[in-house]
Amino acid sequence: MGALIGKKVVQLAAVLLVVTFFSFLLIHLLPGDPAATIIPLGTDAQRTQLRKDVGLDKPLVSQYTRWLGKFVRGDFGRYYRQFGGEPVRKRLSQALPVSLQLLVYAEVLALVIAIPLGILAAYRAGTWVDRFLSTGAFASLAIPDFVLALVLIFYLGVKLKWFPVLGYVHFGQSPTEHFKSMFLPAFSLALAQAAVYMRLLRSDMIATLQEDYILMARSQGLPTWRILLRHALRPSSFSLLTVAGISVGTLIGGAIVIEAIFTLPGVGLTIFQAISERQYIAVQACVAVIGCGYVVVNFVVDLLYTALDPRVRHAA
Amino acid sequence: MSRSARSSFAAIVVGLALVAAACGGGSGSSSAGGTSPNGSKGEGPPQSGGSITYGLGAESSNGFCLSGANLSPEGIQVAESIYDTLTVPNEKGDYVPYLAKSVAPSSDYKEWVITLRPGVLFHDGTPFDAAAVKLNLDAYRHGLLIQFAFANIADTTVVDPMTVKVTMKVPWVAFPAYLYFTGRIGMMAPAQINDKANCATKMIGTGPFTLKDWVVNDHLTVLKNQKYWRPGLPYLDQITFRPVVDPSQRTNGLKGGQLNIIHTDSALQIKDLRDAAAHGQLTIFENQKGAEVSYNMMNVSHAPFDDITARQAVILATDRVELNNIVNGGVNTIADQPFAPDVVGYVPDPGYPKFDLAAAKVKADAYKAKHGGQFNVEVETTIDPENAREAQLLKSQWAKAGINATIKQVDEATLISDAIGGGYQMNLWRNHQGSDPDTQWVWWHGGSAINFQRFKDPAVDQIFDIGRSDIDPAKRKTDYDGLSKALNAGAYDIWKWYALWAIASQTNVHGITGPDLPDGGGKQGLLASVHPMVGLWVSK
Amino acid sequence: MRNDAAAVGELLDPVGRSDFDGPLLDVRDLTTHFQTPRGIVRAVDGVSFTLEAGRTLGIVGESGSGKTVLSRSILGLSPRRQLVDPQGQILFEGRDLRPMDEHELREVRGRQISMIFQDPMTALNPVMKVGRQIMESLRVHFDMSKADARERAIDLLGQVGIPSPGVRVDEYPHQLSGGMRQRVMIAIALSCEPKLLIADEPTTALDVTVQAQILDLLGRLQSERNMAVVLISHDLEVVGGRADDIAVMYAGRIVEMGPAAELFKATRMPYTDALLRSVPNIEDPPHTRLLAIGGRPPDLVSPPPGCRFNPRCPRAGFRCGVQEPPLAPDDDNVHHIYRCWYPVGGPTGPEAEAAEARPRRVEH
Ligand SMILES: Nc1ncnc2c1ncn2[C@@H]1O[C@H](COP(=O)(O)OP(=O)(O)O)[C@@H](O)[C@H]1O
Ligand code: SF4
Ligand SMILES: [Mg+2]
Repeated sequence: MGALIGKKVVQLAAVLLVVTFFSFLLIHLLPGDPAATIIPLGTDAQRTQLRKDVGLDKPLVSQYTRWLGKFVRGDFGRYYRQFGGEPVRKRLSQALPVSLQLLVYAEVLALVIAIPLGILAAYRAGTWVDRFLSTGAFASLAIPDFVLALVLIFYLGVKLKWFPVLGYVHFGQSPTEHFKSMFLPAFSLALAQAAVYMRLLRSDMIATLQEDYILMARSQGLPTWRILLRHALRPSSFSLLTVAGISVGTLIGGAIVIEAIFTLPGVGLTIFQAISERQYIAVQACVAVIGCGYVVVNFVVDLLYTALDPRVRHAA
Repeated sequence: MSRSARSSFAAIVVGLALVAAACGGGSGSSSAGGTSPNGSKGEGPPQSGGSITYGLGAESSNGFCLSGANLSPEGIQVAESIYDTLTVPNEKGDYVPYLAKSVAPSSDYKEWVITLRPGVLFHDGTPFDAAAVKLNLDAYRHGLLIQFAFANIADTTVVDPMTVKVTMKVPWVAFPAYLYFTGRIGMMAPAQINDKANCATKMIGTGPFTLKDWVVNDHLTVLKNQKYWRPGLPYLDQITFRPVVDPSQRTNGLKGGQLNIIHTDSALQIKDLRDAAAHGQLTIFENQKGAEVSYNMMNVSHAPFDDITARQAVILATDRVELNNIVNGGVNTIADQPFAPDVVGYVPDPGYPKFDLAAAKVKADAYKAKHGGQFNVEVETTIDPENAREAQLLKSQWAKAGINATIKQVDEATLISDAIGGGYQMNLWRNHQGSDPDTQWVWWHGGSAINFQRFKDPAVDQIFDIGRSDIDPAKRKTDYDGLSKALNAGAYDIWKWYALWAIASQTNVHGITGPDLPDGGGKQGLLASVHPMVGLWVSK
Repeated sequence: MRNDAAAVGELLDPVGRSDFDGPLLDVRDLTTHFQTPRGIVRAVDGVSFTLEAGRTLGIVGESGSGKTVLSRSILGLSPRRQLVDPQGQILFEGRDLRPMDEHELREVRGRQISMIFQDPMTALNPVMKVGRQIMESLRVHFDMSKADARERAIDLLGQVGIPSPGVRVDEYPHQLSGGMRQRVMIAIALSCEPKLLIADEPTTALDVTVQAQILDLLGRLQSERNMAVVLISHDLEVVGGRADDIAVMYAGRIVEMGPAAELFKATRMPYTDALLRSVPNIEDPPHTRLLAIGGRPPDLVSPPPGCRFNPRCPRAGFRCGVQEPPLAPDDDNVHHIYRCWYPVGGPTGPEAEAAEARPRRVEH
């Protein structure tokens, strides 16, 4: 077990190096002089400062190690505004929790929708309930998340005024308002995921329900819900978990647009704004943070997988 | 709409463009939905207290060091809450003292004496005095782009603690208008100006609200200034400004109740808001006064537009009615000149040619005959999809006249730096907010460093030179009558339409046009894109 | 008319009635037919038997003869949506289980009647600790607290002969050997003290050495608890020494049934005879035996007319292909019943028919 984790950690470190290197390269992929691109209208002194900050005159590899050293210490560079500019770290430290909340809520919401419906569809496989749910899942897969967002905004936000259509409320400020402000964005992201999860869980669950141990549980007189939830769900959820982990990538991609639509001050909106303001140093940092986040999430999912399936755990 | 792109021209460049409507005329305000925003009918007496959230289309991420900030209209709205200006326009379009007690010229208009209103304090408790005013004016004289507008100032001197004298290089009649500059020339506390590192974020003024906190790209909150120099004002306890870049989301936020008031220049949104206002769901305030004009500017220092035949050909080949219908849903008013109808310089017939495909073809063929059979045009626009659509439409219109256009999409900063650097043929632009035409000097005078189109037109220069120093106010109003004609004779621009601005609010938000000016000065004169914050109130 | 006491008793214990004095299980004319794309599979086709409390019924028959379907039918575990017109009665302590819905059956399953399955690897949940799997039944049927249920689970693991049950209780099935897993399954099945245990090929998946241990364990637990057992196997030898009565199944029907000793001593049905004479097969897994006759059991969608065994029967006569023999008692022992026109011990079909035909021909 320990050796297994050790091996995975080494892999993780290698992947993180690759991810950070490509994020770092971003600045160098800009056409022309990065300093002139980032500061098109500023003064030469400002451009010189930027070159000095980034070390643009040094060889690429030493630039990278320098950048990585700072990145690891949480120094993500700064914005280059007409007058000064705040550290990227300050902005990210405010944005990251918002995005993490959005992702977690979206993921939880997707699972909360998908698990009961997936179980129901499997339990009622072949009936009209199952067909209804499958059709619904196909339909929601066909709707892009931002279109869904706009539809939800119109009906639930503008017409019914159930949920705010923009803005973010801190949990500490008002938990109810917080969840209300996160609902539409999270739901917009979650629905298509829920459809994917539901279909996946359904098919795995149908296979599981054929297993002898389910019959064994039934022969012991256990109630149906107990069999479905306690006996069938876990062994049916390995691929669901894997896909949920991989989907974090899809969710992150969707979150960038969703945050922009709902004016949620997360990393996505930060990137969006940084791109439109040519704050490529900030973009670089955000991309690196997101990339690393994605890699780490998948690492954690891998470990979770191990925890969920004792056979994998003990095989190590 | 194409708002995000074009407003940033405002953000950087337009800072220079304006002063305010110098001529009189009606209020220029219209109000749909039956509720008048200025408190005159149906609103009852203003009530104190309450807070609102104000949705803006752009963040002023370069901050509020006003001398260098080049604020967009959105940024000016924020600045209006924290800063006061020495002068403001009144309803007749005259510039009257506001934070100043008086602004008086010498008989030859080469010297202006600014006397200050006593007892005014900055938010940090320091007095508003002559030293502070000089510090401010000197800062503006060195501002990144504003320096060009103030280039005519020779010197500023403190006469006594309450008096500042400003000396001009040539007689300058329009100076009080420059002291307002659409609310740009706010008086900053010395503590802000002198803190070079934090000038952009350490906002200290004398205005009705004080800065509480600002998280860039998220919110900027101001609180009631308890010691404001205008008794009983402001009414609100707090305003939170929130950048909501997407125009439809701004409308949704207003309808959904997250925003109490919004600012928009999207024609399609304005159409929608008018509808909602007609149903009594919200209040809309529209103001066409001194509206900016949307146009394509041409660079005469390069082929093909160094040849007037080429310029005339594209002007004749552009069907602006079709363009307006498709791009703006027909909401905007077509413009034949850079001046809005209420602005000095506006003339009923500026001599702009009508859309005429046959004539365009003749011009295009003439150009081709001179230039080896080729007529290729490159149009620069932003990556904004609406702008790109407009450019596509132009391309297809011109193609009918045999003009071959290519579209170059760049980001806004590049578009602007190309304009400054001269590396463009034609671009999609918006500028020239209504004001004293003297303020357009920097754009079109042959002696200006930032004449982006790079023409030196003796007829144009002569009009500007006369107008700047004409001390006869009555005659001065007609000095600029030939300007649009001269520009159109040079065929420098394809004028398209006047930009629209609307301020929409929930029905319980009032006082958008502001309270009466102090000292019995009547109503404040308003420009299309900006309104004062001091008079806002909410009914309970 | 019932008196009030009886009504209260039913409320408290709606199924298991301790005052009932008939047979514990009385299966009458049970049919379980499945709808399939190929047609109707007559997996169990009119089976009847009784079982008294504390006794053991062995059911034997080749693979595919319907033993498993029969055992699952008793607990209503057959796939309901596939069932076609289920017939017959399953009287457990006098109450018919057949018409019961899932909810009612739940009170019976595990609590009154339990099952153990052939393959302990697939029949135990791989992602659940064995202790928890035992605790589940206890918590559901006895509403036990977690702590109590755990203690009882450890106790049960000890009773089924698992060493250091306090440790094993927290292990997963894959950490246990095959024999251990089967012991765990027995512990689960017996956790709620059922009156009847149905063991469907309980040792088929196990090594020969372990087989006897498990069967001995079952026997011990059965007598300790006075529990009735239906012991199912394809191997007559497994059932032989342990069942009081034996039923032989072929193609969804009981073809011979009687007290075990009688069945061995006076085998009547040629199919039973074939099972008895089957020999261990060296190449196949150790517990499989090769039937002394060739061929395969018939297709249950369209079973052959007449005696279902006749295509394979060495004794079959003409009549066997036309008329199905009834399940009738042996002349010597009314408890010994079988289906055969030409039982072992008498003339074969051709012999008998020849004997019958000759005089007739002479007559003509
Ligand atoms: N759900 C089902 N649908 C269709 N046929 C089935 C089903 N279950 C069992 N059968 C068929 O019923 C017959 C009896 O099977 P089974 O009871 O498992 O035999 P045994 O346990 O004696 O080996 C087999 O032919 C089998 O294919
Ligand atoms: S009835 Fe005939 S076919 Fe059937 S078992 Fe007896 S002898 Fe064989
Ligand atoms: Mg079987």
